[in-house]
Amino acid sequence: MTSASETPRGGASPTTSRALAAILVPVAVGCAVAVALGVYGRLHEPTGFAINVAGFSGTLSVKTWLATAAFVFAMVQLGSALVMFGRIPGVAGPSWLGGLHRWSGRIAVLLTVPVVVHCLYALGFQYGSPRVLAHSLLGCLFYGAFVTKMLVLIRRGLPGWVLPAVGGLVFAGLTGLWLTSALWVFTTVGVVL
Amino acid sequence: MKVRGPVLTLLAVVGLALVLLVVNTRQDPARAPDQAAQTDAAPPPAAPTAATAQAFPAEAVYTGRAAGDRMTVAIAIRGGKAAAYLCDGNRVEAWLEGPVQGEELRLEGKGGATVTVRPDGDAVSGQISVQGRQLPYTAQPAAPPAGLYEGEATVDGAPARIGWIVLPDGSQVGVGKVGGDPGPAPVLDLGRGGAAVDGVFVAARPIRGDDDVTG
Repeated sequence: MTSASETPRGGASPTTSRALAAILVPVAVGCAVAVALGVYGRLHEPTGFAINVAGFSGTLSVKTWLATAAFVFAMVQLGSALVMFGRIPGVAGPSWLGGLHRWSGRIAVLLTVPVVVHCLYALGFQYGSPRVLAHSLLGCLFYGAFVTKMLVLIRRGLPGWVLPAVGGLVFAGLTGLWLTSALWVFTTVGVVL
Repeated sequence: MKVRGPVLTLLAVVGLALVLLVVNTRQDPARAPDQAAQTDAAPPPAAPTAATAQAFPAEAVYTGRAAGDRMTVAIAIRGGKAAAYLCDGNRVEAWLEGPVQGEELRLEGKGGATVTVRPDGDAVSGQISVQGRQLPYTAQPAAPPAGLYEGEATVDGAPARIGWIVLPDGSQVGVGKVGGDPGPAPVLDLGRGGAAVDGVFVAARPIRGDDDVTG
């Protein structure tokens, strides 16, 4: 549980509280972002309208494919993270692995932005069915966890488990979002561009 | 670099979201009433001629039922243009448009649907033709809240369009299409000015004669 590597046990009290604060601030900001998104989605009157993207049959397919592309990059995130943390026996991380992890993550999140803007602006936070409720909650969770992850990255002296835990939460959030949206579309509407 | 990277990522995400939000807001038809009002106001001064002014009022909405009571029809006239909607409240519907000229209007919609409109005292009458069937109808002037309403929304990402005809006796007939699949329209709450579709509030706007309904 605790990280023995960074501090001697003798001075545990001030350093643990400092480490705790270093975790708490990103987590608090992430929670605030998640709650703010949910409140905006609930209070903002859904317009039912949003701009479309050329080349697709409709908003639904644009969102589905953007989410699917983001999910593919999220799988790259998971794979590169596992190698970076030495969880794949016998596979040594190449020097460019860090760059791959950073950029696949950036692309994944940026791909989700047009989707979430449409979700929040045109549809809002909804709970009409279990799938829709789960999707709305996961959307708030994902962006909150993402903000926490970014803030955790720029903090030093954190226990080693923090980054994988927050990263895992981001990955789980995006996976859940994809399962409750794009996969649902593929199985009900069909695979259409 | 290592420290600033995540911050830049955060800023990029927030920035992209804001740009998209602003683009959305700019293009939102509900938020551009000024433009709509201008384009609406421009044509009428040039349009009226002696013949049309005599035959049809400058602005009116008619609602009525076709023979057999299966189909309901609504016709709106304004600014030298007419818009119409007909539906059976279940699966059949058509939006139609046409110019106001001559003694009989001929409005056309997708799939070969047509409606002819003749003045008939204060009312109008004519023939509707939809899905190969022809029916005569008579429609009476409808004062608000009676009239023709349209709602458009995105429901679970799929485009939805609903047409309602509210008759002078308060009864409603409508058909909604979600993702192209027609079905009976949800109840139009005239107090709130819209209806709930799968938990989404769909705003309904009254249709005037010069609204674009077939585009």
